[in-house]
Amino acid sequence: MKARTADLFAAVDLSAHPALTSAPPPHPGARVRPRPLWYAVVFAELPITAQPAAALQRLAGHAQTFTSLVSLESPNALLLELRGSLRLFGTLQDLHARIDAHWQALALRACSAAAPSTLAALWFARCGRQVLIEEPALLAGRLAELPIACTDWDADCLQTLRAMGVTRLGELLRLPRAGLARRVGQAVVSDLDVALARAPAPRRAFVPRERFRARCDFDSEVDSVAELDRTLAPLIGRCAEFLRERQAGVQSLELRLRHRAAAATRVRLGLASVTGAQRRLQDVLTQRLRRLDLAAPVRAVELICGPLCNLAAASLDAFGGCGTAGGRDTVLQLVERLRARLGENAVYGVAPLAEHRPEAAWRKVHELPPAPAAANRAGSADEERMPRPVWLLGEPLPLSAGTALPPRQTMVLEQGPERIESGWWDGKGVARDYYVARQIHGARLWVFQERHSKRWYVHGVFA
Amino acid sequence: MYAELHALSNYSFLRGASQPEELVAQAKWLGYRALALTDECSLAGAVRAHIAAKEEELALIIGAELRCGCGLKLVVLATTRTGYGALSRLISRARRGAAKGRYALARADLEEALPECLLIWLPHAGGGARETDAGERAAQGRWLRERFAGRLWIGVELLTSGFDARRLALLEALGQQLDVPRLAAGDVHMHRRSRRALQDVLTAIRLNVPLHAAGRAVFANGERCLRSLSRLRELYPAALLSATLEIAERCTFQLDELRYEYPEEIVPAGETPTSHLRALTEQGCAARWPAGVPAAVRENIEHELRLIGALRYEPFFLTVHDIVRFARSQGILCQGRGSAANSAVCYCLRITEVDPSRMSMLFERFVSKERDEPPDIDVDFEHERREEVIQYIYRKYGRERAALAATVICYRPRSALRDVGKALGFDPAQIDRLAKGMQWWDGDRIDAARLRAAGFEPDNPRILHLAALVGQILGFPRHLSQHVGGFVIARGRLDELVPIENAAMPERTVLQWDKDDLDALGLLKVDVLGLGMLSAIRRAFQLVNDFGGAARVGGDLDLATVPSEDAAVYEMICRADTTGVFQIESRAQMAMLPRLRPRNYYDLVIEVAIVRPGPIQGDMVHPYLRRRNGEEAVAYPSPAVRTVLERTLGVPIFQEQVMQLAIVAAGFTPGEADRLRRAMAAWKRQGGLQPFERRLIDGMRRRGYPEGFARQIFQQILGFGEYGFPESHAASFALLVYTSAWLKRHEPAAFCAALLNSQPMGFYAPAQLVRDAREHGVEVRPIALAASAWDSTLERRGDGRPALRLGLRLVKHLTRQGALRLLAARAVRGFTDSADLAERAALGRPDLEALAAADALEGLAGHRRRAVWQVSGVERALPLLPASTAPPEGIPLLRAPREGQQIVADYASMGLSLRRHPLALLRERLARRGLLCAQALWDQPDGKFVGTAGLVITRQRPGSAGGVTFVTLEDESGHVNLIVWERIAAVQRAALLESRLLEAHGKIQRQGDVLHIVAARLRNLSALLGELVIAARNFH
Repeated sequence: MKARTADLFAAVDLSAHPALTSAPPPHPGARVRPRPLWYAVVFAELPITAQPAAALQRLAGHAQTFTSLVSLESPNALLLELRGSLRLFGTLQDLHARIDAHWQALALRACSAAAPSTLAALWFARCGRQVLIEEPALLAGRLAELPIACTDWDADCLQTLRAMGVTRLGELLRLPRAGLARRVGQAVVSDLDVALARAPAPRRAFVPRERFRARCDFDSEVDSVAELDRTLAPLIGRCAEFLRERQAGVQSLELRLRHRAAAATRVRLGLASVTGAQRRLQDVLTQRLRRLDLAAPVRAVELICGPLCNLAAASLDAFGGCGTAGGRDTVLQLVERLRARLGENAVYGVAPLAEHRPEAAWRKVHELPPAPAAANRAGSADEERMPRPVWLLGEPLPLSAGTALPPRQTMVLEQGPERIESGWWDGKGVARDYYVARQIHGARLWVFQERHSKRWYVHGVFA
Repeated sequence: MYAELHALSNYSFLRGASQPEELVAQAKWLGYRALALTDECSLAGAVRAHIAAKEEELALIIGAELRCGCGLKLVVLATTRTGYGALSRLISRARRGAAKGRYALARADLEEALPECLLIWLPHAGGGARETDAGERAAQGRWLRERFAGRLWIGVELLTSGFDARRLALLEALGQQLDVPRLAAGDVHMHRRSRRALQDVLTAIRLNVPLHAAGRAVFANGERCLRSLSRLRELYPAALLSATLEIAERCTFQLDELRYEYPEEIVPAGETPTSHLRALTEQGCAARWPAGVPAAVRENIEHELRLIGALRYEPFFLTVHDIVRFARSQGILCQGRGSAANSAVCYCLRITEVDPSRMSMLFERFVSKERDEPPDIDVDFEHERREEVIQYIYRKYGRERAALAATVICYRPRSALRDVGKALGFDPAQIDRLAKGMQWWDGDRIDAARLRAAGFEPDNPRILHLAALVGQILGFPRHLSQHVGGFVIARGRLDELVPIENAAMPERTVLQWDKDDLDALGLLKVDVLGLGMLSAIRRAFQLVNDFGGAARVGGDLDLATVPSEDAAVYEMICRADTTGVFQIESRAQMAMLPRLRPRNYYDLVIEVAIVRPGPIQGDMVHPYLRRRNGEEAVAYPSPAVRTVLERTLGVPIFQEQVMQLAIVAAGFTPGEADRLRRAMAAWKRQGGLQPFERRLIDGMRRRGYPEGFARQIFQQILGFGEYGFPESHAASFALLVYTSAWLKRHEPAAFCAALLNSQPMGFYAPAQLVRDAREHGVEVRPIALAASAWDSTLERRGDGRPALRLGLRLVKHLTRQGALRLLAARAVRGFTDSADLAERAALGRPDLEALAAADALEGLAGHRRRAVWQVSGVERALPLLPASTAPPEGIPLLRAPREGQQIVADYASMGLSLRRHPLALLRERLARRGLLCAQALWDQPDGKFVGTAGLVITRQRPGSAGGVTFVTLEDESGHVNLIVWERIAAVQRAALLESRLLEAHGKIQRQGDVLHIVAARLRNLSALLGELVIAARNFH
């Protein structure tokens, strides 16, 4: 689910954005389209935070409050197109101040600038020049004062330029284009053209991150789940079609039921694997709705899909593992139905983990294990390990009040000890001697003696 | 009742979690009968264990754990010297056949390879999915039994895995089926259970995974420690335990039995070592004293030869002579030092150039009959040509017989932090920040404030783990590296003495033992070291001789013909005018020179030795200076002490004096004195001087010395610690000090050129060396395309004196190959323009730009900016097209650089500038801030609070200076020395460490010709420099 959409956030409304289509060079007589206006912000301290890339993504999310068009400029900058937002927010000055105030409220060190070209805005922001330029004609004059280090040209290129005595963009702009391109590469000359708004920024192919979001208003309020289910069918159909067009799937859906008076009811649905199939989506939704108590009549419903995932890679694994691909009741569908009926967290898979501590040797998984082969490998434990019980108690149960073992009449230690001293690193270290014990009436228990307290506990039961 | 026969120390790198010494001590404490150290395919920890076992009086067995490619796992134990040799050889073979740090062993390699060794087979060792099935196990067993019957056991290792009973039964059955006896073993990885966490961390580091992801790769429990006898009795049948004793009985080999034998081929046929050494010495005599050997020297020589003969050291002297002779035949300058090097015999053999008649040193001081220690001769060679000497040794003796000693690379605070942090799953970037923030002087603990600064909470349990484990892992060996030059050369196969393995450098092999190990066993090594100053001196001689400037010495200038005891040289030294001079160019030495005022060769010997952490911490410097200046009477408590200390005015300065004091005043035997020396070297790390303290003070009291004197001597010994400098080394160094000072005084142009051509070396960067030469009247000419060679050279001036022409090697980023092509093309004819240069010298853009940036193309292309524009447009001509096909283009108007920009560009492209000092341009601004230049400080009274600013040339934090940082600032008028106390440094750390241009305010402190400023306030003014790049030499 990474890859294809990481660069830009935008709503599903894909109506052509003014900035998306590059403006043709204006010629006399043509109706001049509004030029895009770019706001750049550089977060100085971002690279030293943990996971800077994720942090930038989050900040991009914030930025979407102000514009539908946000671009990530790795490693620590964002570009926002403001022209489209001006009618909502008033003057450029107002909007600029509002965005800056937003970063300030987040206690971030941010430098921002606005200019009619992406690179100009970015370069000003990188230099900490808080300028606000609307007129492209003013760009050349203002850019001239910037040091060349504000660009992201490679070190060799900057070195060469400095050796020619060029330290500011103004000195660079005076050099002959062809000669310059020959010496430091066409990219530098192209960047200058972009910065001066003489050329569009062709390398920024904006692909918005899409989500399906559709709303259906009912003519009259709906108060039965069954009816709701029926009315949702076309919505599911559109969603499936949306996914099919993009060869994508989802792993979660959200349903928002809007009521007249009460707050909207939000119903989240998780899928056991990535899918775009209408039948599965419908199936899960139906099951989930059956469990739903309608708090109030519904007058509108909204269906929002989760992040799009690449279908091709994910689905092959998922269905391959089930062996009954195409059958109506695949394991996946079973799990989804159970979940929808019993609750999201009531049904989970168990994956073994390589760990010495029994309580840490497995984990709950939400997705089904993709392929049986992988699941079994971890289980093919070496012969040298003691048996592990099928039923493991959530918490070890003290066997008796003191440190003594119950008398031999009630319990016999059959196998062991297996000493486990491990896990100190996560604060849940154990030091125990495990035994297989047989109770007098035949039950086989998994017991251990805690090494320090010498107390005995039951930890599991063999089937 | 039990001997542990399978124990790994931390010399099984990243497996064992205890030092060999810890294992030995714990085994003794637990009452084990014996301990076998069986590191994995290694004997690297054996000597340490051996020494510890001798002290603890525990029987130590030498062995190794071996794993074959087929999964067979064995422990091999040596019963005799022969068995040991075979094991060592097998290890060498396995190690030599694999990359550094690994080994490769096939089952077939074991055949016939292990006579007089006992084998413990560890079936089940594969474990897990690679478990061999019963049939294969039996086959393995039969294979082993056929070859090793009677000396093969099955090792039963019960580690409370839950299957102990089954495993015991299975192995007993297997043994009965094959008729192989069983014994108990412990697969020991640590001496105590409390090392479990560290052992887990080592495993994680080894596998390069964080612990939480290590899964079952870490051990399930802490049973792999030395367990108590009572616990072993619970776990094992008695027969299995007692079987271990039988093995322990049979393994009688001790490392003491190793005997070193000198190589044979250094003596020609028909000669004995004695006669050959005598003949070579006589030849040397004739060359050194053509007019006849002075009687005193003759007496010395005879005496030394007698002593050498009695100790049978002839082959050692002959070995060193052979190496030195080779070097000389190749024109490689060399100079010996060390306990035996400053003898008349070595002077005759030309191992040293220190004329024994220039010093009154007794050979016995260096080689003694009583002390049974091998003589010590280190030979320094020109650093850039040492490799030739090393290859000669390999060629002559072969790789089976010559190898370099190892240096054990241990965990230091920074590496420990990185590795442990990674194992505990900390964010690498965060750990990196913490590690980077730690200057080396931060010591061994992690400061809470530093932790907070890096974003850690000091009380967090994970941080506590981190701090504790970093503390434990410090000093643990990580891998073996090669010693700087300690060669061991043997008569027979060296690999039967100690295993040999591959070093990281191709074609290099190292022993598994380091210098201390070799020392402890009395194995002899010759140190073949590299010394930059020898390269510089040889080059200076060459330049002088080629220039015809050696007329004053009447022939060619070399180490032997440099006029001795030249008064002008000593005058220069007394002024501390010693930039570039060997040893005495450091900040601390320069501060000492005007106070000590060396007047002769022996003064230089003292000067070299006295400015060392040892004498400084032992508080020997001030008493010595007072006595030298006649401010304090020199008194000796006894005539015996007088003989030891007279040459240093009653103050012990040299390591040898401390040992001799122990002998004459406290009644130590020479052997004990030698142990004292070793203990001195190690006490900071390990302690262990207390027994000597008692012995020393009692001994001196009994001999009638006052307790106060005895205490003082002991304090001095403590202060000496590991830094005591031997007189024998100082004597050789002093010769190079004098020689380089002579060159600086009389041939400053050649000396400066030679230093520039030998960079990187020494204390100062080219900028300071060139500045210093110009201050001494040397005309320095800039790099020029038409005149510069690769090296800096001498040009004849109108007045016949030499001028220094800077060489192309100073041009940053210019490749040597490119420069050589340029020189070849220039020799044909001069260049007409930059295209001609590019074409005929076949220079690529990077080379051309480097030249243009360094302003070397001025004649061809105008000022450096135009030159860069021009050459960066040059495209490599295609071979078939004429070069001038590129369309002509105009040259844009590039403004000529201003002076300040020129200086910046000079520093950026060459690291130095012949223009004004950068601070000269800033002077007006600095003056407005009230800052004084270096020269003006001399007009200020002592104690005055002043401000100054300068480029940071060096930062130093000597271990002896109690946390003081010394900073040298440079401006256009000279140098300023700053003293920054620890308190100030802590508060103003950033300004201290990060400034290129530093403003400092503080009090003037003057003592005679020495001026310091004791800093109170620091400020980083680097912004004023713009892009000026100044390379400071930090903390070396």
